[in-house]
Amino acid sequence: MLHILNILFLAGIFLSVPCLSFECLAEDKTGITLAKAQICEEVKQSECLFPNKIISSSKGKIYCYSVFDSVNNPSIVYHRWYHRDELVVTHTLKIKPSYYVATSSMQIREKDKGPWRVEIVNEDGTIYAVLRFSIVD
Amino acid sequence: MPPLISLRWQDVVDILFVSYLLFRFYVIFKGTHVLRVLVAIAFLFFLQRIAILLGLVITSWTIQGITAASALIIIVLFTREIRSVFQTKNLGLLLWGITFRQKETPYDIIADVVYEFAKERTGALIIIPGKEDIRGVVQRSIRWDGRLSREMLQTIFDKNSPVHDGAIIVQGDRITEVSVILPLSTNPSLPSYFGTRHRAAVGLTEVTDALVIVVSEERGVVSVSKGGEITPVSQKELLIQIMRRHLGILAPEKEATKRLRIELGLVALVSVLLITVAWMSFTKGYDTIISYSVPIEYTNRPPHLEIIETSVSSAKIEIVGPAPVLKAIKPEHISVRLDLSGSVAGKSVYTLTKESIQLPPGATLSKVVPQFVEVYLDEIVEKILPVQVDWVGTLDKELLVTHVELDPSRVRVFGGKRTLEGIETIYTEKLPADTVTSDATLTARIALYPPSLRLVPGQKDKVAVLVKVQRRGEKTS
Repeated sequence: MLHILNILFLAGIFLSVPCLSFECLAEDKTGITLAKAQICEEVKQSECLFPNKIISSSKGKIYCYSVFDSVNNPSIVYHRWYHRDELVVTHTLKIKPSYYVATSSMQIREKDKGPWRVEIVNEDGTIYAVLRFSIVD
Repeated sequence: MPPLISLRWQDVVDILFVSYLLFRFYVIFKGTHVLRVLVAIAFLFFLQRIAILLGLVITSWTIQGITAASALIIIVLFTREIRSVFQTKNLGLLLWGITFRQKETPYDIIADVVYEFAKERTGALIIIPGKEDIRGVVQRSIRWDGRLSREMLQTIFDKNSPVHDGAIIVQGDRITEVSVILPLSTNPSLPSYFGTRHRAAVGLTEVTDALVIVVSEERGVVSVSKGGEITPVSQKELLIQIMRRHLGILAPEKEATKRLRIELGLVALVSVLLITVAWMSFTKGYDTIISYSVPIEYTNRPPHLEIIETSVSSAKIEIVGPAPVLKAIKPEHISVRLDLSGSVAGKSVYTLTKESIQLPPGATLSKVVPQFVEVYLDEIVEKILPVQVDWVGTLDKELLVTHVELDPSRVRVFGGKRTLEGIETIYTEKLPADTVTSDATLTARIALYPPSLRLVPGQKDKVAVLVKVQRRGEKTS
């Protein structure tokens, strides 16, 4: 009995690990789950390089990098970029069983300094996660 | 000119109080030079008001300057008189008392004795002070304070008396001082046969309003000095008349009292008239307009609603009224209040009416801008919102912030329903990224915006910020 409880506890920790780096809010009805989501200074060969939450405006471009699990059918996800609660841009991204990484990017300028968030949303409007970061000097 | 009907009670009090002051000035300084100078200053003042009315700018300025200088001159010239008024021990006499001056002085005894002295060739010098204080003028006196009588006068001026030299001072029915040394007159027109006694009498009356009776030892002549003049008086009746005039007892007591009452009544009436004219002259500028910017106060707001926005925060109030009244008004004396009782959520337009503007007495509302105020009220609701750090400054280029965690990560806030609909995040106050050099826990205060938002009671207004960093090039875990 104690052994089963230990297994369940470890399973719980394992399942909750992806949510430590962003706000996990809901699960998709289709079974698609968000495995990883990060704000990156660079994305190369579908890999996030230099994940960061305080990014200098001199970087010029930033990326929202998301990886999904259980993608059995082609689907659409959205990356909604907000600057201080104001929607700046929405990226529509396709994911499919063979390509389950969705990446969006945004050019940053001097006036974009301040707190930002990116909501990762599915077609139904269900929010998978919210990534928060700031653009500074 | 404002109609008299529009007089406020404050105006009436104003006029009566200053009239009473003027009346008291007359009572206190009656018979002295001060009153004459004050009358001259009052005349100058009215002349200046007339000059202003006629638009004579330079004339009014000049008269104003002379009037101001006169006030200073009065203090310097009449120091003695002013001091004698304020040195009075009887405050009641100063503020409301009216005296019948020295009516008890036994002038008949003085007259009898001085003519006896003249026959006997006994020299004497008797001072009967007027309104002015003579203490600053006379020197080296001996305090006596005895009731005046024939015998006492004879004793004092007896040649064998140690105090027969010098003058005596008579106050009412008492001899207050003896052996008084007086200043000698340097008037060259005085006859050469006048000795020290006569020159001393003239010397005192040149600088005070006292009456001095002199009995010549050599010639046996009774003389009276007043106002710097000295005259021989051969008849006792004439001397009595002079003393009575000096003491203000020209008629029998009852008649004198009646006359004094009539005189004071007239003075009171003239005082009121003068001050009323002066008041009207001051308040002539009834068409004076002053404009104030006054913050609008919103009262009786239903407790479940909150003011989210108003079209204006203050109103420009133009008021009209007498210039002195308007000059005395400060912006805090004016208030603009909008009654929000019965309001509902949403935008409402209110009219700023006379009832919503409280003005001090004497001022009348001329204009209010704007006339309409839009007030946006919203229902107060509670919402749980995530907190995010508002980083500023520069982060070390070698560092990557891989993890930021807040405690608490969410806060409960109160605010207008519609306001909160558009708010998805509560930010902290600006936190410098420069301070991040390694893994650390920082503290940041929650910044609520718009200011109408409030934290639900019991919530901390600060959050702990756990930051984890990694150097560029280090392997990401």
